[in-house]
Amino acid sequence: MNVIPFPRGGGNSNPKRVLIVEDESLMALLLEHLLQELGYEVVGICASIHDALSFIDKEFFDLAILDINLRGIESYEVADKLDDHRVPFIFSTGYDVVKLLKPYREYPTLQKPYEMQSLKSELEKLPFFQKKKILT
Amino acid sequence: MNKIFTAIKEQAVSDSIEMFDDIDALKSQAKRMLRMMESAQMMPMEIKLDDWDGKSLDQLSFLFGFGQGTLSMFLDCVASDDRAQLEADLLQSIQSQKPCDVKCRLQLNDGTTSWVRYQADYTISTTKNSASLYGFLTDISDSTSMQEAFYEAEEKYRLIVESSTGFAILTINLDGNVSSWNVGAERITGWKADDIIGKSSSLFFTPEDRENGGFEEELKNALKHGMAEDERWHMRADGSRFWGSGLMMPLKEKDGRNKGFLKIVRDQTEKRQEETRRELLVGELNHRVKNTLASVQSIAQLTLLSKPEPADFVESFTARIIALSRAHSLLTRKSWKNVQLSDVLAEALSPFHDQNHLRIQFKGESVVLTPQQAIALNMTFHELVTNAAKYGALSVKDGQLDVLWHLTDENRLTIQWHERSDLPVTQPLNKGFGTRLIQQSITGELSGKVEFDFNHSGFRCFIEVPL
Repeated sequence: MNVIPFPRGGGNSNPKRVLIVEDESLMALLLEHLLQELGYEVVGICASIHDALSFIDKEFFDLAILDINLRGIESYEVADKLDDHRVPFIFSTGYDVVKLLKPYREYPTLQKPYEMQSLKSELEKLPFFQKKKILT
Repeated sequence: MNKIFTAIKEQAVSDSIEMFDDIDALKSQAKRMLRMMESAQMMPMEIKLDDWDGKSLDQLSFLFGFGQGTLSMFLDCVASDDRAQLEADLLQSIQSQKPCDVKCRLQLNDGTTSWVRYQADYTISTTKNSASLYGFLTDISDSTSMQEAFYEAEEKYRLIVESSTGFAILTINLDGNVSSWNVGAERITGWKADDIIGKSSSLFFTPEDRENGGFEEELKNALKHGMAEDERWHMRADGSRFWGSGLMMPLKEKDGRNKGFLKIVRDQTEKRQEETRRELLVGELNHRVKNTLASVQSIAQLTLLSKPEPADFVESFTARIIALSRAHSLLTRKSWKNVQLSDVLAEALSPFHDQNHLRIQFKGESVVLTPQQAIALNMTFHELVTNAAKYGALSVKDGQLDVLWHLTDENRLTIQWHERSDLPVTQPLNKGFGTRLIQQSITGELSGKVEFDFNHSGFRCFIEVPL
C-alpha cells in the first residue's frame, strides 16, 4: 500500500472525505489542492487499481475521483467496488467519453484538464448531496 | 404453312403458265423475283450431283438464282478459314444423302466478310436419274455478328470472374445458398467451390451477423436499393476473420423477378487493420496531449502556491515545463520504449551538467524504463537537482553530486543521490511542491520508497522502485 495520508482541510469542521485514484502524480497533487480549496478532506491518493481496491476495503470515505486509465488498465473494477460500497464517484479522463464501456457512460465524467468550477459543480451533483446538504 | 404454300403455288402456277408465251412478261416476272429474294436476303441454290466424279467438289455444277457455273466459283468466294470445314460438311451430306445445314463466311469485294447459311435437302429425281442438294443460301451476317459479340463479351466476363484472384465473386440463390464461387472466393475464404456450392452463404458471415440479422439486412438492402454496401468481417474456412469490402446486388430475371444475388468482395483486412491502428494512434495522441496539458495546469497551479511572486513563479514554472518537455523529447527519440535510466538522468541534469561536469558524476548498470517510470523519475531528478543548485551542493564552488544506482536480484531499482559540500545541511526539501511531487511520484505512481537524509556530510536521497 502506497497511500499518503494528508492533514484535514481547514475551515470546515466536518469536511467530506474524498479518495483520489490517479496514477499521474502531478494530476493527483492538483486534485488534492483543488479539493482542499473546496473544503474537502483528501483521505488518500491511490495510483494503482490494486491500491485502490484495498483502500476501499480498509477506509471510510464519502466520495471518490477515479481516473479511468491506471497504468494502461481501465479502472472499471474500482468503479464496481465503489458502487458496491455505495460511494458516489466522478470519472476523470484524458480520453473522450465514448471510450468508456457502455454501462459506465452514465457516471459523471470530468475531462482533463479541468478547472475548479467544473470540479465543484460535478461534486455538488453527486447523489450524496441530494440527501444531505453539507456544503454551503 | 404447307397448305398455304400449296394453295398459293397452284394459283401462281396456273397464272404463270399463260406468261410463258410473253417474253417481256417473263423478264419482268424474273426481275420481281430477284427483288423479292434480295429483300428476303435469301437466294435459291442448287448443287447438281449427277455429273460428279466423286472426287473434287470444284467441278460440280452450281445454280444460284438465275445464274449457273461450277461450284468452284462459289467455293472461291468462301473465306479461306472456313473453306475446308464447308467442303467437309458438304461431302458428308452428299455421301450420306442427308440434308445439309452449314454456315460459312463469304469474302466480299470490299474486303469484308459476311456470314451465310446454306440449308438444303438432298433430293433424288428417279425419273431423270439425277440427284442434287436443293435449298436456300441465307444472309445471316447481322444475327451472327450480334451473337458473336455476345459470346465474346460473355467469354470475357467469364474469364474475368474466373481468373479474379483478388475478388471473391459469388452468387447466391433465393434460398440463400451459394450457387457459384470463383477462385478469388476460394483464395480469400479458404473454402473450395466444391465444398461450399449448395451450402448456406451465411457460413462466411460472422456468428454476430448471423445472430443480429446482418446477413438478412444486407440481402434486404440489396433488394431495396439495387445494391448494398458490404463492409463487414467475414469468416474464413479455418475460423479466422477477414474484413470484406464490396457490394451485394440482386440478380434479376428478364421479367424483373429476383432470382438471387451477386456478391463481390475484396479482402481489405490489412487496410482495415491499418485504419484501426491509426484510430488508436490518434486516440492515444489525443489522450497524451490532454494529459500533458493537465500536467502543465498542475505545475502552474501548484508552483503558484510556493512562488506567489511573478518573477519567482515564471522561473520555477518554466524550469519544470522544460524538464517535462525534455523527458518527452527523450521518449520520442526512443519511440516511447527502451529508455535508459542514464539518459533520463542526463536529460534532467543537463541544465546544470555543462558548467558542473566535473562535480556531477553518475553511474550504474544499464536499466530500461517504461515511459511512465521515465517521466516520474525525470520530474524527481529535476526537483532534486533544482534544489541542489539553489540550496545544496551545486550552490557552492566545491560541492559534489554523485548519483549511483543498482538493480537488485528482485528487479528493484535503487538510486542514491548523494550531495557533498561544506554547507550545513538544512531541510529545504521538507516543504513545498518539490517534496510532495517526489513523494507522490516515487511512492504513489511508481509504488516505491523514498527517504531523505539530512546528516552532516551532505544531503542524501534514497529511492527504491520496483521495475
